Amino acid sequence: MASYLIRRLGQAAFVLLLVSFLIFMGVYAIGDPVEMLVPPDATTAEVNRAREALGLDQPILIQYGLYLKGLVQGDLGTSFVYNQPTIDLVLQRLPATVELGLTAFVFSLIIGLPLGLIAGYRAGSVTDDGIMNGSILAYSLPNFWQGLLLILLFAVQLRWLPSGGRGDTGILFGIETSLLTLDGWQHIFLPALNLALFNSAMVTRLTRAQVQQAMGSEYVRYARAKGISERRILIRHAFRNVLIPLVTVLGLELGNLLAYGIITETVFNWPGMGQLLINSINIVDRPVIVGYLLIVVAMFVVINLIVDVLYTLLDPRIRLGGNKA
Amino acid sequence: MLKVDNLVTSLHPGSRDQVDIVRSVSFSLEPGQILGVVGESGSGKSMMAYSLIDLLDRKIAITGGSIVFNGEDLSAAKQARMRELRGNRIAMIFQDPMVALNPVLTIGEQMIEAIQAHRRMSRRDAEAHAIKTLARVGIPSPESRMSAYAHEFSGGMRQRVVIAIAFLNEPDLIIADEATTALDVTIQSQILAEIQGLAEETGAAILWITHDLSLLSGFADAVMVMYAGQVIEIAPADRLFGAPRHPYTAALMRAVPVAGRTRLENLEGVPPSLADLPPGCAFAPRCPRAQPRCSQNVPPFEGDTTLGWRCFFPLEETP
Amino acid sequence: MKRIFGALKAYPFALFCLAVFALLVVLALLAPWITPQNPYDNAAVDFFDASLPPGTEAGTGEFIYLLGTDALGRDLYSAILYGLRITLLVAGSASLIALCVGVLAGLVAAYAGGWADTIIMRLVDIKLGFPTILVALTVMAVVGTGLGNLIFALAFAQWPYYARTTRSAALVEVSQEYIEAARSLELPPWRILMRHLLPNSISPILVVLTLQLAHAVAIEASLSFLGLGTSIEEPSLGLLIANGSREILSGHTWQLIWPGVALVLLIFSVNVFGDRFRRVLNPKEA
Repeated sequence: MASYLIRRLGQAAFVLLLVSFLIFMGVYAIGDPVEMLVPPDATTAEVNRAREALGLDQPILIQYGLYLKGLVQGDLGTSFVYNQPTIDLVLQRLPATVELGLTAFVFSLIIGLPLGLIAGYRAGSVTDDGIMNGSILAYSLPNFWQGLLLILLFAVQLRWLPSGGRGDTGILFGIETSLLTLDGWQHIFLPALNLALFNSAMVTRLTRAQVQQAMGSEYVRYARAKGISERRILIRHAFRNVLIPLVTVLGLELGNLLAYGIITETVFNWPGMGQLLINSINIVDRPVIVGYLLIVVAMFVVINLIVDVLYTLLDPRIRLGGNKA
Repeated sequence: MLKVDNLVTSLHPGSRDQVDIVRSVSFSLEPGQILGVVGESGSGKSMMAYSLIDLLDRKIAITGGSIVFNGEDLSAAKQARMRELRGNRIAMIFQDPMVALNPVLTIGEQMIEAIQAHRRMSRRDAEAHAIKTLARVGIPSPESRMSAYAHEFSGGMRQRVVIAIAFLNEPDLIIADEATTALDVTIQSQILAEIQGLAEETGAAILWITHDLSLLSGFADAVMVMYAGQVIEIAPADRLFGAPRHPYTAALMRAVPVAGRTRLENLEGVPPSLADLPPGCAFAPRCPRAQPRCSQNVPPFEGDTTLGWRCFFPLEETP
Repeated sequence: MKRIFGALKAYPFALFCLAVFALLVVLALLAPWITPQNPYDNAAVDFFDASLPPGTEAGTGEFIYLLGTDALGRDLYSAILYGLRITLLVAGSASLIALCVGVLAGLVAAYAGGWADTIIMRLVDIKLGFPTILVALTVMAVVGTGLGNLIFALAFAQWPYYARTTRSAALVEVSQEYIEAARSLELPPWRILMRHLLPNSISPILVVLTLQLAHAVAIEASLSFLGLGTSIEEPSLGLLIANGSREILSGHTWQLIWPGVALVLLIFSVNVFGDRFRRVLNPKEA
């Protein structure tokens, strides 16, 4: 286990280094932010001074080297626009993004798991067909359009819920969260639902495939031969086996939520990291773009690592070091 | 105790492609008796067993005959009633416990749930009962093994666990489908001896399904030979081994089964497809004694449910 | 191929969806001839007709705005068909490029093995660790908006799916005797790849193509919606929806709904077809 973890951490570090290099080179190779930052009537001397102040006069490899040096000290550079350390800017917005993503994740499990269980248990039936076609429709609805329709229906027409923004927050373990106030819930409900829909279709399909496979297995036939109730067979025998492959894929779906959160945050004007990214792209705030992307990549790497570890913890065949044969 | 009369089980029942896979099988079984059922793969022996306890796949169903178990007709019983009986009055042992036992649930949980599905018993009592039963089938230090998973047992121990589960609720009937096929010969004979002892002790009747006729000698009280979904010979074991009447039985006795194979190596040809049966005796194309008549008419079953055969030209009875 | 379409007959809904997709493609291709207005030609657009509801007659009296007009006075029906053209152009060419690059990489990985295989598959794995939308968005953030860049970004983000599928399909074939024979005859590698490995890997690749095409359409629309996709002068469906979303409070809902309906029809029809296609090829999953 220890050597496995070390190997995985090494791989993760390599991925981070490679991605940081690609993004840095890509972002820095294009456009000149100085032109956008100095007043249009600035003299050449002023432009040069600004360039030096930002360290942009150095060769690009040296700039990258300096950036890496800062990186290991937790310094992702300073935003050209906000004049604040990038890391602060991103971290300020992290709770809102994580809160939205996790709420959506829970929503998608609440919607997807039961549907997948039913469809998988009744594989081949009309119910199954209905659920599966419904799931195709759900993941064919572009996220942003579906979110706009939610706003149109629930905020504009019915006026039940606010159309965007984050509501009142409370403090839990030192972190601001909307989940403690009614106003917070009213604000997060639509964006979380928007973000969850695509994911719940994925959860449904995955669960169904796994349940269907499990229900056809020999151990389910054996459980039936023991006179175990169908309910217990589904919930305990099949679902427990389904959980293991499901955790792997669901972890990756959590990453998807982070990515699609960018769109949801834009649609619902949710003050998270994704919105910051889109704003920064529009104003070419390089340090923030690179910093955001690196933080997200790091989060992905961590999620993938956690998923792998969870997988080994859940499966007794792997956990105990036994072989599968 | 168990009386099966003209049982017919079919694939795609009622449709144009209906195929009978168990064709009018009759036999009876008394408490404590061991009936061996022999046949090649595809002979319908497993489907016959699954018919008895309502574990058939969705596209397969009983289409004729009756199964009377302790005075109750199971072919007409409701699903809920069958679930009450399964694992309780009728238990089953499968071929490969590695895939039959749930890989992610402990042995203890799988035993306790089998007890609690049929008896009102506290978890602690159920656990004690499970441990006692494990000890009875010869599992060393059963208390600690309760929290183990299937893959942590050796093949022989795994099969003992499954046998323990079968005996948990002291059933009247145990159906074992190729229960020792995956084991090597020494462990196989140990386990057979134990089952014999348990059956005697508890009075359970056993339906032992196998492709290996030799395994039944000295183990079964009676033997039923199946071919293409039909019973082609049934007889008390000593009588069948001493003087088989059907040429197929005789061929089976000469055959040496190869591990993992359920086909006969020294008998030419393969069993016929059930969807495309020959007009006469199903065995005629492979039979060394076949006459023209054999491929024109189906031979009737001669005898009763304890001694009989289905052949126009049976082998001589040599006393 | 015949076998596949024969099997698809069992799914009439899939064939219906294929027909819907074909219809959308034909409509997009014929757009200049079947629309009353070129929405990209400012001279043809009457600004005074802005945000008219569906069914209103044009100010010139020459035609009727079937689906209404947008905030700039463009005929929405025309704009949707032209937008469909752009969407299909971007997603289609990106998919084809991704297919070519990915299939080639997959074939090389399977055939050559060793270092080439390790490097290619490591790259594929790194990419597959991240959602396509994130990768495409990152590329767009780097290279900037525009049609060509959009196609590049999508192809860049999607080629690994083809590579992975091609490699695993081709690996099954590589060990077959006829490939061994072809190798021992010292046929040039590219001939073995094209003549033997590719034809046997084609079905799973086509499944990936349909599903990734639908995905490309969705991502293109999302990027355009975020302002990182097509240019404002020649909007794709995603940008039309983004424009419509600004009218959400003024009650001009048709500007939001109809481009979205066109987009969903396109994605849904391709997805349903792809899903059934996959089931036909892997009956176990069905």
